Amino acid sequence: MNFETTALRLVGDQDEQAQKPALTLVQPNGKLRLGEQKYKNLKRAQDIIEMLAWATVVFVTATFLIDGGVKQIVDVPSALNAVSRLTSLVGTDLLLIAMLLIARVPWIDKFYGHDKATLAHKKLGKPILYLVVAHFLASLIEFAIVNGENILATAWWFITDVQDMLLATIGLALMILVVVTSLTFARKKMSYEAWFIVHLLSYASVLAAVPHVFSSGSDVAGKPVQTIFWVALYLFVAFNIVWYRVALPLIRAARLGLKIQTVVKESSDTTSLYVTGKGLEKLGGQSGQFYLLRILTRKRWFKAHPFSISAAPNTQFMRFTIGDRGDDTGAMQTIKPGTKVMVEGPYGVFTEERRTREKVVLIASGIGIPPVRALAESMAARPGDVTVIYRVRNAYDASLLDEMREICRRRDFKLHVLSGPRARSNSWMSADGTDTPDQARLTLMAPWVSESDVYVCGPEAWTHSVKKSLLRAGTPEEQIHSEEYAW
Amino acid sequence: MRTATKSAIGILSLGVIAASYTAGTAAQIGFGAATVSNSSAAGESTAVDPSVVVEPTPIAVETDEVGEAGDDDLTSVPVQTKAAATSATTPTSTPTPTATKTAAAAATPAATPTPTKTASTVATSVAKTGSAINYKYGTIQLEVVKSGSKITSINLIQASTKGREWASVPSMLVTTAIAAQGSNFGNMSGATFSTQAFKSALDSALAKF
Repeated sequence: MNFETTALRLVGDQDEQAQKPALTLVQPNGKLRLGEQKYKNLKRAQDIIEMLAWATVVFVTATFLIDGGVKQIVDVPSALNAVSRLTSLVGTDLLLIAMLLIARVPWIDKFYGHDKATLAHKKLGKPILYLVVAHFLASLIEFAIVNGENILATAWWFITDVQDMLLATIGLALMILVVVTSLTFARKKMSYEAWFIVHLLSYASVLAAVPHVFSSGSDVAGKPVQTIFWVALYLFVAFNIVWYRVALPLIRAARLGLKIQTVVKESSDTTSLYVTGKGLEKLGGQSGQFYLLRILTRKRWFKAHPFSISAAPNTQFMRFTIGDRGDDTGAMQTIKPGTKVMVEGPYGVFTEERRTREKVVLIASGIGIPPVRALAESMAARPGDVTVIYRVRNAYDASLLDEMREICRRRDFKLHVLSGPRARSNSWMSADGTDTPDQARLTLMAPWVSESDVYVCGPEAWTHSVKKSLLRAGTPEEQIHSEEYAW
Repeated sequence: MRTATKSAIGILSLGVIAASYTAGTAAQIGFGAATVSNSSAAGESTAVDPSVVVEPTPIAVETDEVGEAGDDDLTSVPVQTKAAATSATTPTSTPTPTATKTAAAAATPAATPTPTKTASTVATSVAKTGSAINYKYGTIQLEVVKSGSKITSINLIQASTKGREWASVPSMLVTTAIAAQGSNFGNMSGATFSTQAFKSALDSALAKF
């Protein structure tokens, strides 16, 4: 009964807020393919991509073996030489794959999502460094033994006298710096910007190592098949990075000329930015996706922040709803209309692309609401197909709640607002005065949850406990969709 | 990756790895195999005269002999080759002696009757000696013979290498360099330093033309 009065009051508020655009909703998606096959197709595509990646590793190992890499081993130096060759081949191959994973390439994002690709990229970091360091040390010790000199003298001679080795050594030093600054303990002590600038050095690191690969790489230089393979791989990765991470966003930014049109306060600590520009529909995003937003002012242009769109893509505007977390998002609450912005994207697979079932449950908490709000607006659904669960601290001060109510009313979706303090320390729901377990309450709110696609968006720990409840309630893992925090 | 795909790919990869390992053990030692593939690739400049390509072999034999006879680790070849080379410093002489495939001993007397081979292309061959390049395993110095703009042969004046197993490297490099018509060819794996020094020696000789 509380909700009813709240809704009325908020509707009244809305009338008084003259600046807030009237709620116009897009036409929901009319058609959507559903069914198990969709999931199988996705898995098949993923298998093909992973197979290709794995094939490159097998290929480089095979070239080493065919060339007599094992047969040449007769003593310690030649064994070290073999180690050096093999680690460099596999290490470089994985390094290029890792770079591709972070290039925000659409054909990777489409099948894995930006989050999964980023996590895979992170996982590869350390193994690559180990391989490259092993390559360096093996070569060094090999030459020290052959020359009969100590390691330091050999290292000095190596760096100063051998073609391209100075550059390659600089590359190695940079790579160590990049990986060490990315380790969890170091990340915590550094600002995102400092880390990011150091991380950019990885491009310099990779480029610095290129000359020695082609001038003295035992498995590349002077071998046509291998040279073609490596040149092609380097160029392919370079093309993807330059095109998708640099050129395309810049071209788009120039064409769209995006600007902030209106700034609307949604609650005490959230604000919506309405962004307009020429030909917004060309961006081609979907509900549930996010963009990297850059505010083009002198102080902030170099920082990009990921935000989900909080309204389905339309021709009029693009809307981001931003919660004040005390960092840059705090400054964004009071940004002036007319400020120029730039977006990179759309990214993410928190969309209907992943939907395989007719029934849908959307679960959001706090500032996790924007993508859920957009999905609720545009999802293909018959009345009653969709259930929305929105967890808020306080129903009087929840962003986009009145919009959610309006959408659910118009489209005949069920909306459950869970407001107030949590039920138990590990519960993701609000207290209801009883001791009912979360999954039991979940099943009451969404009786068909086990055969629904469930989209969950909220803080990491909260999302985790929602997932647990869902699994207990019988929802298969592949029907649970959430974006992982991967920045 | 799905488990079924994973197992299939795993087995396939093991097969590929095993096959390439077998191929690898059947092949020549590392740098030998490399040069063969290299020269055949660079060999698309079909102008390479087969008789010239044969040229390094006698030298390689000499090198081996010296290596066996002589010093413990470093093998140097100057003696015989130098003699052949110095007698050849007069223009028009070089490519043929070795090309005629006469035994190394007979090579020197046969110096004069050159024109047969070279006349077909351009009348005169010019030989220039580059500076001696000192490197990790000794010294490499080359004499390059050009007929017109084409490198017809390269003689090793000095060519010391790491040890006996590497003694044939310089002559292999000669073959490769002639095929590539210069120093723009790849690294010979297992003989990186010899390759580097050889290239410098070759460049210094070519610079004198």
